[in-house]
Amino acid sequence: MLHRSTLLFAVLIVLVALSARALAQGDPAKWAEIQKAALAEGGELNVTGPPSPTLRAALSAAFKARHGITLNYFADTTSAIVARIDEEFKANKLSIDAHIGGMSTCWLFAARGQLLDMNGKLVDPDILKPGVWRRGGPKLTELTATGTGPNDPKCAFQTTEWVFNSVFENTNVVKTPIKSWNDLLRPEFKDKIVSFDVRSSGPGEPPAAYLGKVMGDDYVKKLYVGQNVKFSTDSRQLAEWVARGEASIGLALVQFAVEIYRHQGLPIAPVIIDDGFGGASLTGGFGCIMLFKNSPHPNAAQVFANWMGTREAQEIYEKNMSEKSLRTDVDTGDAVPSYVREQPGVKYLIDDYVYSWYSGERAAHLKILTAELPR
Amino acid sequence: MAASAIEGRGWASTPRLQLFLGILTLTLVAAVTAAPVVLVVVGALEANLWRSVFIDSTINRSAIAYSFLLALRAPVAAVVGFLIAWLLIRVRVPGSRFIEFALWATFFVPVLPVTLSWILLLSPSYGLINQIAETLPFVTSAPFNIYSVGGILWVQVLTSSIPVMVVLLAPALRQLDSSFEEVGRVCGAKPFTVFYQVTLPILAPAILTGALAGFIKSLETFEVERLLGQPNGIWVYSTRIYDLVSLEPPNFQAAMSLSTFIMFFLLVIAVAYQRVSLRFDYATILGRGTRLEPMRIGRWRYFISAALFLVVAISLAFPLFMLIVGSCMKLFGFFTIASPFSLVHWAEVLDDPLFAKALRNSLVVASGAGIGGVLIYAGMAQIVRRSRLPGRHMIELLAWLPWSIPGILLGISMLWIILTVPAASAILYGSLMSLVMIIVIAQMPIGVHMIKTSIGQISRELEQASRVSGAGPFSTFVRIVLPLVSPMLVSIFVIVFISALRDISTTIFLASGDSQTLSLLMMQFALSSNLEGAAVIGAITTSIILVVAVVARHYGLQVFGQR
Repeated sequence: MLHRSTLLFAVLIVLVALSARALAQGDPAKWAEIQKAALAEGGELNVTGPPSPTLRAALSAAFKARHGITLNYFADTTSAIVARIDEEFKANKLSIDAHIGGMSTCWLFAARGQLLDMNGKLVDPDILKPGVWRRGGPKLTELTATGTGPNDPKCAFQTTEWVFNSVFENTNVVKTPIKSWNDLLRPEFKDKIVSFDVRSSGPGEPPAAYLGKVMGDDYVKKLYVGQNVKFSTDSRQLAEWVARGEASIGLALVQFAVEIYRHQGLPIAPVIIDDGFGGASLTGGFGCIMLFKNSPHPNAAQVFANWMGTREAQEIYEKNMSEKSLRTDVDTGDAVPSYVREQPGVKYLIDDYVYSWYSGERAAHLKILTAELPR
Repeated sequence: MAASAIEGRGWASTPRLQLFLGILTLTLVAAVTAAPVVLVVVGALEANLWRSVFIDSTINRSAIAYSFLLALRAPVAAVVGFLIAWLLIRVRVPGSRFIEFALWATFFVPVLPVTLSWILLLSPSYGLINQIAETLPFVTSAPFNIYSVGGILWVQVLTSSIPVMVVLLAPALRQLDSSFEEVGRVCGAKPFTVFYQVTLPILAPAILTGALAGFIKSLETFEVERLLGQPNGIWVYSTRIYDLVSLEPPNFQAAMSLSTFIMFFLLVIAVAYQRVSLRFDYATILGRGTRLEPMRIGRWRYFISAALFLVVAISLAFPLFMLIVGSCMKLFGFFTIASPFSLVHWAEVLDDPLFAKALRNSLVVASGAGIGGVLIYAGMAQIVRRSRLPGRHMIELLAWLPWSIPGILLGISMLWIILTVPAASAILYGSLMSLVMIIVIAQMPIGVHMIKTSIGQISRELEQASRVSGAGPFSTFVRIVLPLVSPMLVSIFVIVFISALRDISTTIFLASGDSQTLSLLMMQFALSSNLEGAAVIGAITTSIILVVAVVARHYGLQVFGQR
């Protein structure tokens, strides 16, 4: 009796393990079925995403070649995309199937009930192989602060993760090295620091919130208000100010703008500050894939989400957006500068794409800072 | 009395028909002009954000103040623009045809590369002119700062405000019979006295309309203010609207609330304008024909010509040079890097699979809006100016409305309307037709009011003669009125065509992946920090506009029998 029940238990364990392995490796039959259904939808797909002409062209061509589906990539500012999709939802006339973007947008769509749960949407065996992803498996980001369990709804498939090392200096102007965050408060930097506007959505927010956490809100006020930081919402303009020496220091500069000047040998360089708080915050940039409810081509959208996890798509994305893929087998070399790559042995204190941080502490630090600035 | 009888018979033979036509026209115009504005007002009322928008926000208060301060350039530009147009058309100045065309061209060059070029010259830290000035013994610091109110005014006045006035006022000056001025001169008046006492009062409606249009439009200008103003904390109404709608989620309710202030202000001045414009009614195209005989001013003509060539050199030659050179540079404005010149960005743009489609879409939308717009505006202007249809004065007021809200709010309002009306949604959404429609609506104020002013310059006796000879109202309109106002029609066509090619804010919500235009493609390049790619598209757009402007000026006037 004992022998039979032990045998039965062992069989059950084997079955569960086999199913788990099958699940982890995807479901080829289901994947084939979805691809077939996608073609039956008309062989077309409408996707919104970051305004990068090269990314648009490369993704559209590769997706068409791989799946035979025409990818209509509609690039726009995030706010215009959010507004358009919201109006289309209200009129029940959604034209967009999927979105490539950041998590703040994702949580906004999710709060309005516009996104599909990403659980179970990734079925391509290729992207579910063990060892493909840096975090053990495809990273699905949570919908709420408490819903962090594996079966809780997930609102996006995050394909990239990189270090938002946001401080840059003009190496011709800054003579004394900047080693500590307190060095930014030196009198020589008054009126000489520029930043992406922290009052607007975008790259200005993460560094301000990070500094609020590690250095305190008083420090942040001294830096942004006391040093009379100049704001802009144009990343290229900010990088040019530092490259030309109009500003000594640039905060919240993004790599795609900075690298334009660094490639031409201009004196703009990242500043790595280590005050013992660990590295700067981690972010996923624009590399999150979201699927909309009631979209016109739901199967094509699912094919697209799976395809975006492939090595082919990730290489295109990494190369064009300079954001580090979470896939272990993707490395496009110089396309991703070293300062945004995670460094071995460095602990990163903040993941900007965790909802509890984003909606809690991060928002609180930003509220304190923006209250000090003209509104 | 007889004339009135003819006009009355022409426009609608019975009071009932007049009422029907009046209501129909008013309804159509109201549907496209008032509906978006009503949506914005309702949105603002529902939001009830008045306190936070107008009292608590220091930036908004400062933005409104700066907007009005900067908008004062419009009346100044109207005066200077009129003076230049008068010199070019009514005075014998060497090179006047070239200078006039160059000022047209100035208005066509995209704003972004022009602004960047002026930053290269007048930046306080690296501007070329400042660097040269600082080598002088008596200069201790950079004398110019482009990031200031003065910098914004300089760029706007030189590259936009004055040229657009010349484009708008030159046709009105062409329609002024020389005999009016000759009478003054025969009576012993000097050129300036003739200008001041004859030309200026006769053309007052055109100047007033142009100045008002320039004033309202200057409240909406955006790119220059964002690049040059925000770094030094100079916000204006339009950049605040942009900030509010750029938030995640976009704060349309606050933007709507903020825009109601300008809307209210515009309605007040539109009503005042209507009252004032009724006082001016000078017909300058009479039955005996129009003769244009430029004045001779002796040796002064060389001095004036040289001064105008200098204006052209500063306002056109340098920006155009920078646009073309910038598009051929690895890094816009960096002349000191190794091998600074490259055609890589041209290859990037021309190889973009969307480029050919965007070019075709832009040409279709710009041509459709230009031709369709001119015909619609001319019809509306004729109704407002010549008909006795009930509600014609209301139509005149409604025609101002599209400028009472910023382009981006007009765009989102039209998106709501199109998505809500099933037939409109099925036919228009995502199509090029919707882009044509919104451009025609957006440019209605300048189109209707400038053509209306131009029609006002035609003596009624010409139309009456046509009617007495047996022509119907439509035939008279097509064969008499349109040819006589053709210089203005050509100007309006070119302005609408350019607006369609350049527009981003009003079309952005209605364009689909399939109806992308060159301006939206240019925005993609600019937003991805590829300014050089954006400059390439700017250079292509400018070339198209220059060709269209030349063709429109030469052949457009020929079609209407003006040459």
